[in-house]
Amino acid sequence: MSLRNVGIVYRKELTEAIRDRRTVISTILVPLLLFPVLSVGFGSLAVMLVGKAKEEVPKVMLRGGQDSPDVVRGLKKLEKIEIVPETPDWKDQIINKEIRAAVEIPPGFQADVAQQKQDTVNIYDYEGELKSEFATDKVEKYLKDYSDTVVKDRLAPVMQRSMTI
Amino acid sequence: MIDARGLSKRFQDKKRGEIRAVDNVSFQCQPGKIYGLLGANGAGKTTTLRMLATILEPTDGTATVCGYDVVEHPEKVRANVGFLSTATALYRRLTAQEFVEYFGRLNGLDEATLKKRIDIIFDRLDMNGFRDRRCDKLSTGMMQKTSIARTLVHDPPVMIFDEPTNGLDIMTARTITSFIRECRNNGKTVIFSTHIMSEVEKLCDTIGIIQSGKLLVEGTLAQLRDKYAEHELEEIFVKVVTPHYVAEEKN
Repeated sequence: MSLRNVGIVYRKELTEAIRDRRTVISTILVPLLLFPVLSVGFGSLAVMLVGKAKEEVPKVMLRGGQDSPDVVRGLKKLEKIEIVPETPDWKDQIINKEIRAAVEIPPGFQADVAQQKQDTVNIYDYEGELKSEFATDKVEKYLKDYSDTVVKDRLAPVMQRSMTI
Repeated sequence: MIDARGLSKRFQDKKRGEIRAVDNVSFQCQPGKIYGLLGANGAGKTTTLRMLATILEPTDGTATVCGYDVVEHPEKVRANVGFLSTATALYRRLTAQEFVEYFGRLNGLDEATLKKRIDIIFDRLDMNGFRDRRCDKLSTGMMQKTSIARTLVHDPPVMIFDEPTNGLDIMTARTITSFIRECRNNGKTVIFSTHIMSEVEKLCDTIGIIQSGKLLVEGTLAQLRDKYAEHELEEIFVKVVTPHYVAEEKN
């Protein structure tokens, strides 16, 4: 088919479509009216859900940490989370959304840090669940700050020596 | 002119197996003449005409229209043919004029020629009263006139009419038959299928009687009257097709 004929057919199809009330409503009017309403609606809904999730003070279970009092104290001081005592069914509690996350502090963590050894704190959460992720974020932020403080403390004497030289 | 040589069309049907809709049909139509293809429903008239108009491809045999082979040069054939049937649909949301213009443009007419052709055709078919009315608002007769205008817009030398007066009132049918006659007088090659005997008697120069896909007999009305010793075409038709009906019943 030549381009001329393509143009003729296109023009005819367009004329027919514009004259069909149902086509005009379904392809032009409905999207024009509905899409902004849907976008604003979904946007507001998302903002509302996130806001509601942020308002909640999540329960976080602390596992271990008996020999790391500074870290535990720091976590308990956090205003936006509630630390609950350890129970054996912590995984079920996360699944059932009774607690939002669990923090596992390995034995001798604080001593290891003092001896400049590397150690890992595990955080367990309900992946994909908004409130659980917010709880994890708060714990992670605290641990990051803690890690930064430790690094800073370790570097302080070295920096002081360099300045003296 | 039209020259059909051994034209055949077979279809496969799951229940009935192979169906020979058209079986080895040969005939010629000359310019300035009307060839009438007469047959009962399902005789093979429409299939034959659709092959001539390149809507269907023959299974065997071929035909030439204005010297162009329907299989080898279908575009050239289409450019030389105007095909009209009562089953032809219109684009409902276009006006009668837009509908005709659309086909004129597709047939390669420039705007000046198109306008001239439309004015002539709309005057001739008395269509000016509804030229700007949408096709979905037209009466059956107006729709048929619009279809005729569409068929004629590119002034084809060959006109194919497939039962063009089916379901039309007497006045519209008369307009169409007089128009078909006018096509002949203008030197066009006209082939016309119907099962209305009076139309064939009034219009056709040559009559071909088709039954079960086979062209059983052809000739002028006078020749057929002589051959079958009957005056009425209806009687001639019955005499021609009855043995085949009996044979079909036996089969």
